[in-house]
Amino acid sequence: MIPGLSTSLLVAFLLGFLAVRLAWPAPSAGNAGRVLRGCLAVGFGLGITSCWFFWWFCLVTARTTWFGSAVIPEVLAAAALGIVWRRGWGTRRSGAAEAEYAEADGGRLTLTDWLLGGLLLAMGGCALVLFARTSLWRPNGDYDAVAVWNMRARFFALGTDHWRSAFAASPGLPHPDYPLLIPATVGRLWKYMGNEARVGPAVVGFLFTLSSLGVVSASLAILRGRRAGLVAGIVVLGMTPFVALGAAQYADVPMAFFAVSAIALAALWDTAPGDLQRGLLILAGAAAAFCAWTKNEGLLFFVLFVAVRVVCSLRGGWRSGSREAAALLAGALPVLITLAYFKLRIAAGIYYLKVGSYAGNGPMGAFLDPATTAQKLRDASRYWTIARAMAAEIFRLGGRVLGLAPLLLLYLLVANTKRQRLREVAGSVLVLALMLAGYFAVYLTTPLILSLHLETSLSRLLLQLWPGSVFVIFMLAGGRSQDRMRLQTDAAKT
Amino acid sequence: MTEILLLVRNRIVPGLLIVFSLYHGVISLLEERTRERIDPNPDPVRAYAESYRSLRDTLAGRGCLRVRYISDTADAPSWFEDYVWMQYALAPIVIGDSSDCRLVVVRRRGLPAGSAAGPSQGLVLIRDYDNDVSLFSEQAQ
Repeated sequence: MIPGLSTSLLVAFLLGFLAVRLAWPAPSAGNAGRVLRGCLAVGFGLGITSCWFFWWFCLVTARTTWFGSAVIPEVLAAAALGIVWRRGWGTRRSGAAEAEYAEADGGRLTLTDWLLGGLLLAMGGCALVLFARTSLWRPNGDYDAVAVWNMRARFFALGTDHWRSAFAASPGLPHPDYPLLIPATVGRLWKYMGNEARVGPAVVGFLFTLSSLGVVSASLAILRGRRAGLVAGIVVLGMTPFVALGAAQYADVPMAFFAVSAIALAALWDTAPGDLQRGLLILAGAAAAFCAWTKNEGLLFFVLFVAVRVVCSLRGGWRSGSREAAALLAGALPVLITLAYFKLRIAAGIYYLKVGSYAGNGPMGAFLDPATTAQKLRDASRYWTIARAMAAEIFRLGGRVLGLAPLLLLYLLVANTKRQRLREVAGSVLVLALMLAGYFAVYLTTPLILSLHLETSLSRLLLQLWPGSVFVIFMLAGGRSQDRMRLQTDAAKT
Repeated sequence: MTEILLLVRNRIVPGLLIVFSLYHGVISLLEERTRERIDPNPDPVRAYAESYRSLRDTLAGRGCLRVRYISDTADAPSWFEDYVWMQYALAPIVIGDSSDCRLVVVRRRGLPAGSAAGPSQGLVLIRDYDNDVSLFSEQAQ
């Protein structure tokens, strides 16, 4: 079992690592750069192999169900990419970009750095214990993990020759339209392991939770300095419901990972744009597309992310906008093709949007709101209910009475946010705000009873945006070097 | 004034963020311990998967891809959860209203074995399993 698990993760990591190195060959940016690339490699590797595993089912299993026909191409692809990388195709450096990144990540470690590092380790220890205890307490995950994600993974792993049964119309198989990154990833692990061991999905949840932390902390260390990265990491882990959601094996944490990866990669590009760095945009496009391959609301993120990025880049002219769009779509295309094939040929459309899709599906009928969409849109109290629920949840998320978000906003308010920083992350702020607006619209028109839908999903939707929000706020407010310089300038004046 | 603002910005507010994060990290651990004490066995899925592994193997051995599932707990609040856990335990076989191998899985809570179904419903008992679940065969017409 362990050799199978290790092999599957190693192959995925290698593929992800090589894809990231080849797309982003430029600077190492110190330890922070290595950590960032490692975390991206984990997520991208699992995403790439989930797509390949799905295509293996679609194209190969009708002829043979021998698992070697899936493993061998993966290993060969990793070997081929490794040869390309070792021959130096992925090691060109961008001198200007190295200088930009090195400035933020340099300097001796101070006592404060050691203290913050120690606190981050302490938080990491708490999070690890929480994750482990939650996983042992519910080894099969929470409700959605069993009913949706791991359920489909069982069909992939145990029913290779009739895997399409996973999408049969049955009350015991809810949400057949949900994308397949997590089921394909877990199913692949189980195939490698030779059994449906509970450790498989728990490991996937752990890797995405840890990698989300790594992306936020490392990318901020590169862009805003070591201390900003360390404090942001502590704040990400302070949102313990995020850690618990990862242990519950829900797909919201993987989606959060890909969302923050897309935002961080785009920010790295914006800081040091150049042809050698264009791979950052390709990776950002791929990350946004992996959001869509993870959850249906990820499709909303992808559309908003690409649209906002392209519109913002049009300020530099049509050429700039078209090059931005081309790079983003180049990374996204393979994943989008996979998603489109799944939606069009396997699970028809988006279940939620199909009229009547819930009504005939057993007990889901008990949760339906009989009002029509037009009636819901005309109901003013509905707007107030949703707004109030979202505001209250944002205010207390992570705490009993007061959550972390108000403190983060306070941090932002007292910060010396320069106009340049606002320009750097304006696009990402807009994407996050539009995501909230999108969730608002979903609740406005939901076919389910509103209070029930809010109660069972609102906190998870907000947690999807948590790492991205922390990243954006620290991009706006973090970075001590500017403040120290200003203090020295004021001291010199006096 | 500038120095006070810098103190607030660089020390006090980040310090509050860190302290708050640490506090919640520790509190969540304590809450998790309490939750485990209150409900030491919250994972019924494990019991289903282990109890019905031999049923799944029997169905798979007979070439079933789809099996009819009858439960006499259709009015119980936990009916849907039971349905989903049973589907999880028997996956990749799909449970539903029809069968492709003339087999029927019946759950008959609180009733004697085989009493919730039998010859009157055109079913012949094959075997009883744990937790009130039995496997029946549909009689030939």
